[in-house]
Amino acid sequence: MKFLIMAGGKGTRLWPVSRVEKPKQFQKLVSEQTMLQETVQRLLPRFPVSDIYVATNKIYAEEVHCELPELPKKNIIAEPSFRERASAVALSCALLGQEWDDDLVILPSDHLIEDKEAFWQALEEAEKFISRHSDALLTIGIKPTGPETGYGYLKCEEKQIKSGKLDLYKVESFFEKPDMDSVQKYLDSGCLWNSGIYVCRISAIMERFARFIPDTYLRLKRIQKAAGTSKLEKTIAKEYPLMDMVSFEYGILENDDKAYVIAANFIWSDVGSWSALKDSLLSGNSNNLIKGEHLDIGSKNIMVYGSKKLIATVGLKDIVIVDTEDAILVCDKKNTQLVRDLVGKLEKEKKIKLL
Amino acid sequence: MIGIILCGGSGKRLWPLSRTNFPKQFLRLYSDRSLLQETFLRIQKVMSADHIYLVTNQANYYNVFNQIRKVYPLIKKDQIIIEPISLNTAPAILLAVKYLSDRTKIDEKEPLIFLPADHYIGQSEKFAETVKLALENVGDNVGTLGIAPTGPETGFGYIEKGEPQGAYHLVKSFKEKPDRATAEKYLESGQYVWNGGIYFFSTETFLGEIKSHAPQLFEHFEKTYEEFLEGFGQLKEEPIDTALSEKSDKVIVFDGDFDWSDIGSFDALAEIAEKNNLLEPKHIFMDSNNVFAHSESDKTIATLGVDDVIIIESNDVVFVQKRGESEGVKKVVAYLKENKRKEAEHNVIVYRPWGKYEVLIDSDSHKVKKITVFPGASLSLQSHEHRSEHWVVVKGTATVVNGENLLTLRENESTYILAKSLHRLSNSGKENLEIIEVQTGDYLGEDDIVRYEDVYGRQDGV
Repeated sequence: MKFLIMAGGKGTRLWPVSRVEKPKQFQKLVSEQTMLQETVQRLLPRFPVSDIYVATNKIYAEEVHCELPELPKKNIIAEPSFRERASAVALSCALLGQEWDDDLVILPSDHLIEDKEAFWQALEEAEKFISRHSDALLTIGIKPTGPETGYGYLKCEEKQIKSGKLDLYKVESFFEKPDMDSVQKYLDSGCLWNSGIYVCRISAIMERFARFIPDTYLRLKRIQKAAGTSKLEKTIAKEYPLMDMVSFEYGILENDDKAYVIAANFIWSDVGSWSALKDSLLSGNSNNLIKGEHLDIGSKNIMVYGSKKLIATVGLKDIVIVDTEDAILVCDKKNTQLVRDLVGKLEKEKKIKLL
Repeated sequence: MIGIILCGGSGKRLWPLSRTNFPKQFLRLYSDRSLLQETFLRIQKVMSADHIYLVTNQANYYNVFNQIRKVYPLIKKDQIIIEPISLNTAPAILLAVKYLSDRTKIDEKEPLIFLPADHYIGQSEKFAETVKLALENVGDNVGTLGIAPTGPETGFGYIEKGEPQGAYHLVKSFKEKPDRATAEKYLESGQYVWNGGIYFFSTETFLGEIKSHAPQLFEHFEKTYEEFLEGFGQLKEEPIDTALSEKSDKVIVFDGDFDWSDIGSFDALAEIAEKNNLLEPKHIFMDSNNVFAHSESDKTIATLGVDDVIIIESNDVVFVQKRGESEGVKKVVAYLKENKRKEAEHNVIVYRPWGKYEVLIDSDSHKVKKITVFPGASLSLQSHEHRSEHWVVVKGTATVVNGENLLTLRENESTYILAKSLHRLSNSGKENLEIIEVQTGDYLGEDDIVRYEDVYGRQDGV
């Protein structure tokens, strides 16, 4: 079993902490370790570092190396430009599949999972399942804890597949980031959240690219052909930016007829927004503070993420405050998903320094 | 006529902007000038600048001097009257009258106007007309200035008008800050005006009135100037309203018809900024209503989907309040004081007679400061036992004594000062001098300083 950590995202929804120069996965959001380091630490006690690969944009390759000095340099896969995750997976599979066809765990670099044991248990069961079903795509599902529009929802077939200790189902259908009305419906029908952690054989992924995103598959094969030759770098630079701009979920998972899901037993958050971070770290906690120093008079349900300055609040409700060296964000808790639009506005107004 | 600006206050209601070492009157809140500078320029429309005096305390003397100098370069040091201790407006006014009659020997019939240094007034022209009219007509009365209320404000004191007498009204009574219902009644009756905190009277009238109504003040006034200063600390801390105005039957009120606010809260500041379209363009508001943001640094404040919020950023604090809940500031400050937090009293920017400095990095092994030296100003000739300093000039020209050497450093030039070596930094240029200082050493406290010579008469420590 080998691991492919996807660390090339821009994490704009966690602005102003997450910036183009140092996006979310390279930030110490929840501890003294960056999210990427946390992700690797979660694997290391059980799996050798030589089995871990990190795919990232080439501008972050040095950062990855600095954060993970123990990771062999050849295990860093550099993407020549910003594309969707499907392209990053395609590139990685083209390069890795050259050498072996093992079970591959594809996992995000910026999610929060506290319970390592439960995480390992899910991986173990996944491995067992894939060993018997080498053509399957298995995703790790999370039992929802509330109505979230920012996540993907997996509808399972009723029949449970006999497996180990965890429930395992065939995926009937998949809904990415639904609206609030649908969310309620999905929750009632027992849907699971998609954690974005996938387990399958490299050959099985290749087969899916060939079927669902044929153009990307074509380019993937070209890259594979160039592997081990002097043309490799040029071929990647040429083919990668032309791959279909489609996410892994829309491009593959949504179309897949052999997708399975394991219902995992750990608490998970994609930390995709400030309110997600608040919910995962402060749930059932009347303390409003995540980082920094905070003093409050009469506020309710707020979240403060500070840096060097004291943050004082009076009479606020449902508000998120984030302070950084050069920008302060004050946002309604319901709107933290829209931080992305705010960043879009900064881009449009060419406020480069703030991006 | 003579103007006296009272600038000894310590405006806690605008924390975190206003601090003990740099209170409200010195802040730039709605223009590129401080409230004190605005006040000075406003009254200068009525009288010549050498007739304007300022009352402050020792701690804020150089803040006053340096700020006034920027708008009136000819300011003389004897235009600044120093209170031994700040005890509210009654003692401050008594001191000013004493100083003017004993030291500058003004005519006892000369009309005086006393003004707070930290108020906002919208239309300076209208204000000047009102003041002129008041000074001409005050006679042997105690004049006050009432502003026509524009809403049922609970944050201001009120004056109840009596019979009209030509240019003014008699005063029936003074009212403390009312509750909402009372304020609405005041507004409806049309007989009440906001108390602008401005007073007009001659020395003769003032002395006559305190003789009858505030005999302790009068008694103190009768002492020699030296005795007066010595015993000043024993005077009761009291505003002039309760000490005199409420008791005197010679109080009259002139109508002021201009935008006015005592800027007693961030709610008030937000209103002024909005009314005058003074919102800072560097901030970004998305889907947000009724939001006011003010930042003292270069920081951008972005809001998303929030309503009715005020955001204030100073160099060491971010303060966010719901609009209309300005009272909460008091509790925040009280808590900080109780817990002996430096944020309660002091700013990261420290003001000195020669300029100011801001600590950029403060760690165990090194400290980085940005130092600004005003034109013509000079730090003391000094040395440090434990720390060495690197100075890089980033703006202006520095004249530096470094051990045996006298250097002139321009932008982008630097010097290294060894521990124990004698040094001095001066700005002989015409613009501000800015340097970045990097200190290294095993002890970096501000009290590691030996002063050999200081133009401001300071000796040990800081």
